[in-house]
Amino acid sequence: MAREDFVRIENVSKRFGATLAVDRASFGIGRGEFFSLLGPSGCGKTTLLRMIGGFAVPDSGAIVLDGEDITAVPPNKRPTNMVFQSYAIFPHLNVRDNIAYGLRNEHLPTTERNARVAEALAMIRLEGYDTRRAHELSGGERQRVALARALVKRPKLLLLDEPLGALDKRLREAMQVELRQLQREVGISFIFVTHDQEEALSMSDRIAVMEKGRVLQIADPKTLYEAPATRAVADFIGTMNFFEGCLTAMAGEIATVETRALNHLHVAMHPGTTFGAGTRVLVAIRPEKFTLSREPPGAPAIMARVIVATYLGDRSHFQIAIEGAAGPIIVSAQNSATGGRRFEPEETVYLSWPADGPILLPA
Amino acid sequence: MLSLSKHGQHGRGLAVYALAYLVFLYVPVLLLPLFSFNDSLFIAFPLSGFTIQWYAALSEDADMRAALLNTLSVGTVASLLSTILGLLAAKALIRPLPGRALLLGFANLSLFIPEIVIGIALLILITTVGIPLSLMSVVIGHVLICIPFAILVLMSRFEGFDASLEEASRDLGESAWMTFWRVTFPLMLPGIVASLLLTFIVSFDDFMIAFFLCGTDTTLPVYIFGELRFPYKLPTVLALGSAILIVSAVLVAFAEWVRRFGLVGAARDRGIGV
Amino acid sequence: MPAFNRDDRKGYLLLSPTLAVLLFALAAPIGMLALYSVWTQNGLFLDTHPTLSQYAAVIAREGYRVLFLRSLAISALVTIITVGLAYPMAYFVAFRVTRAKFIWLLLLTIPFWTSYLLRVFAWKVILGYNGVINSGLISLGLISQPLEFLLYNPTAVVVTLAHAYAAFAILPIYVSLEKIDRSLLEAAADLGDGPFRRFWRVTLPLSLPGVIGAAVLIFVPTTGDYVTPTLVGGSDGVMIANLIQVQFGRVNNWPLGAALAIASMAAVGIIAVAVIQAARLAVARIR
Repeated sequence: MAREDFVRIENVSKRFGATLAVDRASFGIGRGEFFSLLGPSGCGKTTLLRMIGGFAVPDSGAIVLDGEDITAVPPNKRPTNMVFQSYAIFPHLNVRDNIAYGLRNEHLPTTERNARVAEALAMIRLEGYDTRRAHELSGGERQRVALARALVKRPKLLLLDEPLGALDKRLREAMQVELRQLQREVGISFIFVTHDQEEALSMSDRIAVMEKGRVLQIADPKTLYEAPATRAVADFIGTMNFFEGCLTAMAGEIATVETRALNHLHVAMHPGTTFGAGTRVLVAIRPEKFTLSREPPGAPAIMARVIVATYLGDRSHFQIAIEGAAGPIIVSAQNSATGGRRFEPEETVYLSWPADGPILLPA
Repeated sequence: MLSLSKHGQHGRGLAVYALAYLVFLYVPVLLLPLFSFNDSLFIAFPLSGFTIQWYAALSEDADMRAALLNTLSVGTVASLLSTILGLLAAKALIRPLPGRALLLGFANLSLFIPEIVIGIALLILITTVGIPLSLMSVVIGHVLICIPFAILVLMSRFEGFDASLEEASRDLGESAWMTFWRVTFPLMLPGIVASLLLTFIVSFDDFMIAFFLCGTDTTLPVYIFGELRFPYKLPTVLALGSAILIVSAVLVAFAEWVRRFGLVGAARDRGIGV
Repeated sequence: MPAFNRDDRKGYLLLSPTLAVLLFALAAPIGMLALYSVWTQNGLFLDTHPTLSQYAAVIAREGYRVLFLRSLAISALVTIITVGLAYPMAYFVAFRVTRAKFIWLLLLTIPFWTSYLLRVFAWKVILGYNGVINSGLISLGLISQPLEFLLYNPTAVVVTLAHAYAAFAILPIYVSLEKIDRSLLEAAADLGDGPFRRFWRVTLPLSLPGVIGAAVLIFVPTTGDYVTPTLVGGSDGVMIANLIQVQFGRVNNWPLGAALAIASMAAVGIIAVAVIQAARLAVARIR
């Protein structure tokens, strides 16, 4: 890591009974960074978050925040705060008392306390909601109160456990934008847990993709999408088509791969990755990189048959079959680009792709 | 109140049955207050006229007053102890603990052992250890039979309790003890009140265990049992019994209302319909 | 042995006071009871040499055997009657009441909590020779002489127990009926079942845990009931508990009393388990 890590997770592992929930997670998070833990349920992201917050103790490894080892520090003494998945708004207190809850043990003068609460209410745009109770708030309002309650303590690190999961789509998208802006304003590092890859891609500076307790790849959204490191990451982020093949030759950074479905192609490898000649590899191509045409295009192309055509307004999705491929290939095309021509099921088409389309992954 | 229309004849039959069942449940018990106001030493029809002399006689009876006092003090102590123990146990058993089912079964065991067995077993233990029989031994026996009820009420209250509320309190800087006072206790209060009331009633009404363990200080049910040998005392016993029934019924109704109000409150706070 | 994590240890710590009380007040006494059952009372002197002679006495004397069987039979009858009568009531509140369920449940709950002693006493008053039923029937002119068969016999015991334990049956059955997902019944209807078949194939099997719970909650305590046989049983309606109590009273033969208690608990336990298994097997074959 070139930058100074504000948060360091060093070889953290946690076991529950026979299951290894988190397996030697190691990474760093920068000051003021919006960092996401992304993965399917059961991948260990929530466990990891809870360990950072102090609600679970790692079996091994260390968690260092701003130079201080907080691994064994109880949650109430850590400079972190969490927004819980259920929001955990105290039902017996009103909004103002909820937000002020954590200030009680900081022994601030009353004027300071009131000022901070007023500032927090303004920040989440719920001024005037002072005396309302949890059951009088909508889901989105409760979420904001949970946020304000955590931020009013000026933590060094804010942890968010799938905070947008309970909201409907439109509200969720609005909250994603708001959260991002809030984070930039406040300048605190956020660690955000989600299973929704679109959400993670749209909000984060960097994302750690997890599966079965292990961190598979950490990168910014663009890199994760365009250059996933493993099949699991590629599969999880967006949709991906995979083709099995065998690497036959390497010339500089261009590899030649022999596949059953797509014959042989040249794939640009990531700088720094090496595969031995003769190794089995996976060629991965995103649906939108493919082009379908009725006449043979200039570029190398494969003949294919359309199985399903789905019209989605701005785009169309096609499932096509080609010889040598195990299952259908997904192709996504902008409707404007195809000039209004629509491909029908059972039609024979030509499938082509640009030179920088395919990605090479270990098998 | 009842959706009978779509069930036709079956619905009406069942509704009639339900009302008849309620009558069957209540009428025998309601006869007690009825005859407690009857101006006759005999508990028989026809009725002889209204009187409150039997209730008046109650206030003269020093033995009864002493027994009542004993019962009240035993009940208070037993309900406090069993509610505290039940609260701790319910909090522990609500989580997935290894051996949880076994522990829960053990805690509820006193429900499934006949009271006479509990009574004699405690009698044996206490006399063997050498403690004299007294109201304290009754308290021990009562705590034993009250714990399952306390656990039942409090566990159902805990189930509506969002576990992350306590974590949120810790996260916001409170110690475990302050978390209990600022979050757990206020939210559990309806359940605690209901448990106190219900365990008090269980202790108040218990005869069997007090019979074996009370020594020379009697409790009210033991006193009543003794009085049943005297036919001329029957109407007075009826008066006492009716008073007890009414008080118990009011306490139970109140306890259920509190418990229900607590549940509805909790569900409402979490945004669920109940 | 699984490794106990911090949460588990906190849980056990929370449980420890209650467990301690239960061990002292429940487990230890029952243990002492078992111990007494293998000792002998020789006049004023307690002989602590372990022996099974008390149990032999329990099994050998025909009087005791008859008493055991009568107690078990009475309890079984009470259980069947009470559960049978309570099921439709619970069904009514679970399925037919739409608003104000709380009121119905409250009305059904209140008797559960009121003094058991008083409820038995009410029946003594009702069934007596000069009691409510007799005097009522006479004053209505329906009979000229009081009926003698009402009180001081096993029937009186059964009626009284069935009434007193009614509330114990309703609540468990109601809870298990209430839990049944209504859409299961809708699915059954959709697949062609009429109301009776829906009840038999879906509702009844799913409510079985509640029925079994109610049956156990009634059967086990009633076999050991003392108050009812004492007040309304007379000499024909004597049950095990009376025999046990007498050993701790004027007869002063604690070891025999202990043996009787343990033997009756064992008998009841075995029967309860056997009946539960049989019921489960029978219902499991409902398709």
